[in-house]
Amino acid sequence: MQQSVTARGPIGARARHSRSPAIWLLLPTLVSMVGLVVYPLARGFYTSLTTSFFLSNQAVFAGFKNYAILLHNPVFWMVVWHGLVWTAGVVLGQLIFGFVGALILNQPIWGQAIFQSVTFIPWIMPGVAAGLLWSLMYDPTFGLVGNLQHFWGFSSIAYLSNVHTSMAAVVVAAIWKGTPFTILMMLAGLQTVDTAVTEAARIDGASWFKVIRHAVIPQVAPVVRTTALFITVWTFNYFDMIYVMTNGGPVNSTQIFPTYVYQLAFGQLDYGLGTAAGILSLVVVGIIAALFIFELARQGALD
Amino acid sequence: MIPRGIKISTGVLAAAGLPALLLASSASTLAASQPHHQVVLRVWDMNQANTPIGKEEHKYIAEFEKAHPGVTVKLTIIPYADYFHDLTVAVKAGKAPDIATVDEIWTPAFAASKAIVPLSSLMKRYHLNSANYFKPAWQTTLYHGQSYGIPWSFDVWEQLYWNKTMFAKAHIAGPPKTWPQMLADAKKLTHAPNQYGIAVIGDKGEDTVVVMDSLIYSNGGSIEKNGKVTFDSSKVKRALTFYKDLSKYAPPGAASATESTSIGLFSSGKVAMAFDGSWQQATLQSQAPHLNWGIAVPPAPTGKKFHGTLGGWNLVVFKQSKHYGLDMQYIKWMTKPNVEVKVASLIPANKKAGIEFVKKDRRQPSIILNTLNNGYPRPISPNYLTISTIQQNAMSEIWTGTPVGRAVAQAATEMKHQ
Repeated sequence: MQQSVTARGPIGARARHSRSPAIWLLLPTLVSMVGLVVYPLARGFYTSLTTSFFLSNQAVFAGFKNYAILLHNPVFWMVVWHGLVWTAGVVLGQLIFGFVGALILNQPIWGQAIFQSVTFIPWIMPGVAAGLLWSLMYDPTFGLVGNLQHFWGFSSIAYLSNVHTSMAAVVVAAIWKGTPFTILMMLAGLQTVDTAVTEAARIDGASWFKVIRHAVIPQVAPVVRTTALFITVWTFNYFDMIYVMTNGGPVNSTQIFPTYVYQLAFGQLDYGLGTAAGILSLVVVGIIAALFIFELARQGALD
Repeated sequence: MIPRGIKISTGVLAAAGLPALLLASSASTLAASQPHHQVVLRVWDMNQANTPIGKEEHKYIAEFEKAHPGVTVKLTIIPYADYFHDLTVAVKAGKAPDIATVDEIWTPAFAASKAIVPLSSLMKRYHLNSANYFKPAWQTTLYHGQSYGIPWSFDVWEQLYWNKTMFAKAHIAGPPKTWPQMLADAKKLTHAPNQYGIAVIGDKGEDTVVVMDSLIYSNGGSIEKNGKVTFDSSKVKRALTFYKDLSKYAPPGAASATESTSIGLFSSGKVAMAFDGSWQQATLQSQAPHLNWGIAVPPAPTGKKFHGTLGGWNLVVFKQSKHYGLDMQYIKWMTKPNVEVKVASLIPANKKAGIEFVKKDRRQPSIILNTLNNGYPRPISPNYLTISTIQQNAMSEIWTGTPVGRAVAQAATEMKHQ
């Protein structure tokens, strides 16, 4: 008994002592979180509730007026739609090309390391540089795309000037830029695939497509899901390429949340409205992410 | 991809203000570390393209410091692309510099927000005379009858660049003088897809707005007059209809064509004519040394006179400065003709320096001086940036097939609601 009391005493004291350093160790993270995430968000939300212009020295509290203005503006709904189209297009494209690219680069081919390295160039290129590059490629007079069309006997199309083609043009450019990341993730996934399963499928007479469909994809599915979630959020919030290539035009046909927020806040100096649009974009991307996570949980992928 | 949008969308001011705050706080620390008698003058300037402004500026700053013992000038040069954003954030954060170069189109917004001080009385005290500057450049400093800046450098966005070889081959004697002549010449010079009559600028940017304004001004129209929106007038419709007609003889892609697209097409011999400012002469001389080109005053409607759109930079004093007198001495120093001719990013706004600069550095100086003296500023309004965005959208609509009348009516309605 005495022994046990004696034994409990030091342990209890150690536990009490150890709790306090744990709090101190957590404090820098907590302070960073509050300073870098909570405060800017709270401040941003407050700004969105004010009529805050560069031109007026005082930000006047206006309730949800900015939100009402946005929700009654057809351009805002156009931005929501474009944001969804842009995100869906880029994510789907990156997943498809990323998976195919990873399958190719996973083969024991000559110069595999060189091909892998070259493939990643678009991903490490700054978004502004990639945007300029693609703008030049799409140039109907000098660009590669226009020249190829001439070569094949077609008249060149100014893809970035046409409201019907501009979104597709920027989506293609963004797929090119982001696909290497997907390849990287998929390659990592493919390297964990149990070859015994794929070999067994082959021996059983499964075609190449069936091996991929029934033996490979189920094994890399967790990587695909995680990658899809990442690139969905990143793409929705991506700014550089569209800003450089079209600045949201023509006629708002490529206007997405980040370019819209920038235009309102720094183009028109309407900080209140710009921040309200930013908060709404956060809500939209939050809903997308929540749906994603909910679906993953439903499939048991988060267990 | 870098999730940059997150940064913008969450707490736009708080996030964007951070670098400016850090910059400003480090500047305060520096100032605090100076001896008590030392005054630090904080000056911001921007750098456009490859012009190495800072090098010359530092030279004259050193001379200024020598002539003003106890004064240290801290010059911060910011790339043009970031400059407006950094300035507005610094003003909002209460960390504006003492003096800065400000684009003429921003001056009314800074004046209306009371971020900068009126200089009229200070100018008298420091013997700075408005008559020494080109009148159109001077007009860009005025807001509600007060001068809020000293014009430093300026230019007109439009001279007509024309390819002499192409004109000769088409048996056209010289550059067009009227709009009907221009349409006829452009048609004659177009042999698509290898050669086009003209390059138009039509992207969603300020470079499009200045061309629109120039055509509107030359047709006797305006964007707004005495505070009243006039963008839906018949003169505006006629001007923009002319631009749309002209685009038939331009390479495809007007809605995304920028100023650099336009001069690129001209320098590569793809188009026979292009509108641009005199700063592009250096580009043509370096990139297309064998191109046989000239400049002309751009055409106007029959019986009317051409008016280009002005662009340029003013030196302003921020309200937060603690030493307006010293600020004015600095401005006076940097706007001396012999200094301005070396440090200005465009044509010096001081008449003496400007004329000397144009005669020495530019081809066909008389054409340039003609367009400079007849240039008009863009609307002098604190809401200019919104007006400009509306104009850009209107032009985009026109390129994509919306009838001109409907596009300008819609734009005018939006402008009236500002």
